[in-house]
Amino acid sequence: METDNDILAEYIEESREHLSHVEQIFVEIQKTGQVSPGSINDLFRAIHTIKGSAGFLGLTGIGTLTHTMESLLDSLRENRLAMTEQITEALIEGTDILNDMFDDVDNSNSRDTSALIALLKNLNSGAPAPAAPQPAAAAPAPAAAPAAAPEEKRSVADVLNQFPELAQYVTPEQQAEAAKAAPAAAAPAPAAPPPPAAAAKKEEPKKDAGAPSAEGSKHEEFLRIRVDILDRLMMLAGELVLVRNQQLMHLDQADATLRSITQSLDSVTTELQETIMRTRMQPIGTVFSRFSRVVRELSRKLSKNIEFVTEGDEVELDKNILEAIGDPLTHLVRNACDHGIEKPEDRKAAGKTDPGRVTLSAYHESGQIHVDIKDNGKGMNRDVIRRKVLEKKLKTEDELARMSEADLLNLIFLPGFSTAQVITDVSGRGVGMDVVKTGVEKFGGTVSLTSVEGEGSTVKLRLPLTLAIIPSLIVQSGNERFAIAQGNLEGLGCLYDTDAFTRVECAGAREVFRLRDTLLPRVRLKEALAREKMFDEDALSVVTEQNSEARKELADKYKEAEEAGHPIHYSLNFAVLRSGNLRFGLIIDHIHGSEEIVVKPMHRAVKGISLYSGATVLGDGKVAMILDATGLARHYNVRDVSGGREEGKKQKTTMDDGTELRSLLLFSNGGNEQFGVSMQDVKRVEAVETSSIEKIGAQEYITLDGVSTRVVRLEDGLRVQSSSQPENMFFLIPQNARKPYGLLIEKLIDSGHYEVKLNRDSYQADGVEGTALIKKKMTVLVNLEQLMHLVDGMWYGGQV
Amino acid sequence: MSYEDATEAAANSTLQMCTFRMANRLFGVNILDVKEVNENTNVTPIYHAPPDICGYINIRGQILLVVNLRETFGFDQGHKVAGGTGKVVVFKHSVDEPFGILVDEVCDVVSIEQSRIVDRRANEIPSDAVKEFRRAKDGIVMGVCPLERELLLVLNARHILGKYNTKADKVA
Repeated sequence: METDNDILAEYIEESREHLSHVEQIFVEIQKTGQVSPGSINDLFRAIHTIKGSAGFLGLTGIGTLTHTMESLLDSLRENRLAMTEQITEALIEGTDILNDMFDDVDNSNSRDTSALIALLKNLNSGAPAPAAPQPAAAAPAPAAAPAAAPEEKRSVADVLNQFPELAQYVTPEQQAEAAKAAPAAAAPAPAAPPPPAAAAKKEEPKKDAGAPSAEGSKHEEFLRIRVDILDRLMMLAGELVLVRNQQLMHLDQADATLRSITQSLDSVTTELQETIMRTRMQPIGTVFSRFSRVVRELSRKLSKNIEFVTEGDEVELDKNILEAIGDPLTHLVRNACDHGIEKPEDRKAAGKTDPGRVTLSAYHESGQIHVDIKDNGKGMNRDVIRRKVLEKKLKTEDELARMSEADLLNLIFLPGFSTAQVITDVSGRGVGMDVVKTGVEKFGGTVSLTSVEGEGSTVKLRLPLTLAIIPSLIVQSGNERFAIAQGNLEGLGCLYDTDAFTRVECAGAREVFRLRDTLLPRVRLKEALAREKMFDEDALSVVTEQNSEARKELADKYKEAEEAGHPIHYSLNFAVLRSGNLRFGLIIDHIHGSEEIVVKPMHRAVKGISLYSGATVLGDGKVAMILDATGLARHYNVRDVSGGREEGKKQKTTMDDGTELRSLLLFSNGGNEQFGVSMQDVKRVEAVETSSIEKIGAQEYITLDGVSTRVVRLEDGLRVQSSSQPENMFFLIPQNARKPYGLLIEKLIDSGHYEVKLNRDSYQADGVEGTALIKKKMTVLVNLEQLMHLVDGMWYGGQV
Repeated sequence: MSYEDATEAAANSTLQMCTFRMANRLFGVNILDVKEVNENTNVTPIYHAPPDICGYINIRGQILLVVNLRETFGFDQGHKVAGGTGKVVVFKHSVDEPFGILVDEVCDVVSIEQSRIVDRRANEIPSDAVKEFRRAKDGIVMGVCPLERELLLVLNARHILGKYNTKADKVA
């Protein structure tokens, strides 16, 4: 038994489908500039169907508007009026208003649409008045009218159009009406309430099959299915997979018949599961298509010329995600048009092509869907961002100074940030990017931004394929396995042997890894699981102390074993997780590899546990909990210890008296002078034999990996003692050299972290940074790049 | 016994009880609430969960919560099951969100007259057993039914997860 509300709900849903179809047609019309009689017919039918039931349900507001639109469309379809841009605009506006009305049906009657209705009527009156009662049979059907798209309810007029000889069986009133403004509106049939859902479901495919459209149906065969039935199907398919697995396990390989049956079962099951998955997938083009209109409207509003291109429309995404990315994408497209693309005159001045271009593209990559929103506009000005951030006091100058370019760009995702010069109704209220980020992250996606000033910006969205199935990493701690969503995962790491206890430092009560140029807070999964209460400072310091003692013991044991000649091997596995801007290393026992998992929500009784975001069944049938990075970080009280990434190429920790901790390679060039270079500047060091040095003119070369590499000696550029040229020397290849060079050195002394108090005055020369006391010895710090330049310049007479 | 039979039995105020043992005591739940009994299921512990939650098990692709009533009733923990295996009585969807209870041993199906169930609140049999179950909150124990050789403690499966109804975030 259907109530009025059910009918209304169904009507709204149906109408929305019609409206989206209408929108698609308009997009097509605007794109091609061509109006086919077929598309006018489709428009007419859709609007007409909406109108039909609106009257019945007492939705007069919708009824009146659709009626006016319908009249106009009818004039178009009868060729009494030619399609103009103005008409298209008016009709599009009508569609928009209808969409709004369906959003709030209860108040749709009180909405004022008189202005638009007047406009529509006005446009329509440009056409000759609708012909007075004519014999219906003669109703001049445009060529394509009989094409009869597989519309569910056909009106008398349509039937008449197709079968003029039937006219005699129709009442005169119906004929007259059919010939008047709305031929299709005449018959009582279309005004009937939409058939109950069940009937409609049965009917649709039958109709499509029974009345194949002449011009090739644009509608595909669709069946409305309740999502919970789909979910149940999906679950059953999952169960089938497990039954299949059991069958495979107990299969008697000797029995050929049974084996082939099992194989068929296997493949059918897999296919079944994949097909059911696909029921939820829809092409992203359905979302993309609506933006061509958005861009068109924006370009007019902003008086810019913008070309809109989409790529990868066919890429399929889960329906839920498709619905969820609509708003973020709208923000981004608007931003690209408003902030990105310049005004025509600016583009000309910059020597760029006009129109500007906004591209939306979707593609698969590493198990995720990537959606890029790219514009070739003005890009982002770092200084403007910096200024804005300071103005709005979102970050301090000190913080900004330590940020990398990429981090700086990402500041625009901060709440309350907006660089628009003028707040327009398009964008610039300072909420945009923040909303985008939270919106996308809510369903497990990520946003990143790249921008080249003067050339444009690209925003990349990375989205999961579906919400239900996510790629994940399976890890183990103790006897239990856990899943970590790939979206939360930034990388994996492993420290071997001594590194396992030397690369750990304490920052207050917390332990951190020192990895490359970053400090990474560490979290032991075992400890996090063992303690139910959140970690406070006290708990953390207890844990940290225990761990550092354990580490010491371990280090001693390791040393002992090594000295005894039976070295033990240690390895420390950790996963680098990300929660918002916070990164931390999660220490685990084993890494099992990645698996696609089906996320199941937590049971009511255990929902409050912040550590988990759900549970899943692993391939072997055991349940594993899915770890939640944010919850873990909160539970373990993780703080950002690095203050953002430590900046710059050179890792320097400057103390108050100007002493820095630097990682250096120490060497000597014969004699007793000690030199040092920054480890970051060194690519590698090769042992070479001086006899292999070849001379061409004044230049020396050594062939390394098939490349003739120029030999530079310290004494070539600096006034230092010359090498005694023993047979075995070392060849230091610099990082980032533009030409193949190497520095020939005699002896390696040591490498490591040293406290360096740089003295720039004691020894000044090009190619030298300064001197410092290292290992109680005066050491000349060589600037490799400068030295190479210097030597090169001398050889080439300054032409580098 | 078919479903119809069982329904009829209930109408005649005879209850079919699925009985099981836990800490040497005999318990029963209405067989109409029981979906199945599973043996040798692998329980995945849920760290930070309340003590009476054993963990999750997978039954044909469906994840079920397993409750340890020993904890609820305050019995001594004969054996800790988390991470191990156990026998689980699984309840139907109509009872609550999917869940089951961990038992030591599954016994027969017993028919009892509804009238023979003594409400624990009636205080007519002030046995130790009844006193013990006073502590079990939220009406999980409907009453006690004397059988030939021992007492059957009748449980209401619908109330087992009752305490989580309003306080879903209690755990945090």
